[in-house]
Amino acid sequence: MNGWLPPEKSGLDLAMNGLTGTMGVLAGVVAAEDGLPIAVRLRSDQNGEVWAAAASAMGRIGRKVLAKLSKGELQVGVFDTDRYRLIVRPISLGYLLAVCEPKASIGVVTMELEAAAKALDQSLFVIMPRAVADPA
Amino acid sequence: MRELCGAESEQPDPRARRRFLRRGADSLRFAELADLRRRAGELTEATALCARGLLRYPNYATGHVVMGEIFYSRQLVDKAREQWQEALRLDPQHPRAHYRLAELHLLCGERGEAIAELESALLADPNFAQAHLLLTEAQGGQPEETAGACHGATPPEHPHQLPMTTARCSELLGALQRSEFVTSVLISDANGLPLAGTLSWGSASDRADPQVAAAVSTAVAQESTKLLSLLGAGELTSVLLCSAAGAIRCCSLPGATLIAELAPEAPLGAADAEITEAVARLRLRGDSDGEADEWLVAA
Repeated sequence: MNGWLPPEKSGLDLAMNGLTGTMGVLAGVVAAEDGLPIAVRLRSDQNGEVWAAAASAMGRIGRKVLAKLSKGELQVGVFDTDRYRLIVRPISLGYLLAVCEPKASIGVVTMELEAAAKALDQSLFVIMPRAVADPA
Repeated sequence: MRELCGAESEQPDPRARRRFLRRGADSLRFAELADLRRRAGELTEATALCARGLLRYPNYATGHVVMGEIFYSRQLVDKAREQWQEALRLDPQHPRAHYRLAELHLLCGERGEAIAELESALLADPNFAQAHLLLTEAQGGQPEETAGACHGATPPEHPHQLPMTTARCSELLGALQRSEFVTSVLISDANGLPLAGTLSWGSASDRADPQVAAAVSTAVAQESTKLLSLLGAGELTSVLLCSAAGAIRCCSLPGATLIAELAPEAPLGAADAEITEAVARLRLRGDSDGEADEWLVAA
């Protein structure tokens, strides 16, 4: 609270800013496995806590389905609604969610998610090394 | 929920119960808590609790269903109907809202409408025992010609509501099997039973059972639909899940779910567009060809 910010935090900021700066992305959310928000970047007046819960729920649904179908580990899940395109990616601590416009490019946003996830994993490893190394 | 049921049946310490109610009042549990209050006859408290909850979560369909039940208990039938209709606007497959509206229709002597609502409730939740009972009751004094009209003889008003007939399944399968990006397709009904198609991924030993795949795809579509509707994120149209072994796409169809496996090297955007187009063509089958083509070009 003395104004000092650790360099790891700016890494998290950079990753989130990079993601939300992508065309068509309305919000970026990092959620813990249990749905609690870790980092939230919203462009408009939206509820970050709700999106964090959604990220966790969607990630779990995706993982469960792929496991049941013997299709391996979830890399990316894309949930399309008539209002949003929600792209979720598992990270070491939980899930990273991009809330996009319905016509946002899956390829472009997925690429940005990938970059953000790597940056997040690195910065979160510095902040919480044990949790990242052993998410379970 | 078990805790709530226990609270109702075992009459726990009233102070503990009040604390429990207070803790959940600001969460999505408000609906269950308001329902408990209603059952306990505390209608004023139930109304206040549910109204507060709906201010926080206006898109929570179950909240509107409970609010309708509270209004109904207070004999405000019109307000109850409005709440149940609002619940169905938010979640068109909400079984309890369909059931409650069916009860109202029966009270008004509108058996045809009641049967239609109950059939919708059972389509959304085939294990809804009360709806089965009420449907049997409603069909008891039903003139044959009217009953027939409620069992699908009436044409749907909108092409999006066209049921998945065998012909439509074949048409969709044919369209997708011609695609270079789609390796296999399976269509399941609303109960999670396979309707058409098969899955081909994996080796013979770890290949997904079509029954399991159909059930899973239906479950994912229904679970995601409920989740996103609850969050006010809109109506789910499709889910795409990617793994190192490839990608699968689950897509909601009228009364059915489609699950398609995409080739591992397929460009996601193009593959997704092909499936969307095939589904859109099917949905527009009720329109004239000219209108359908125009819509697809615009899309």
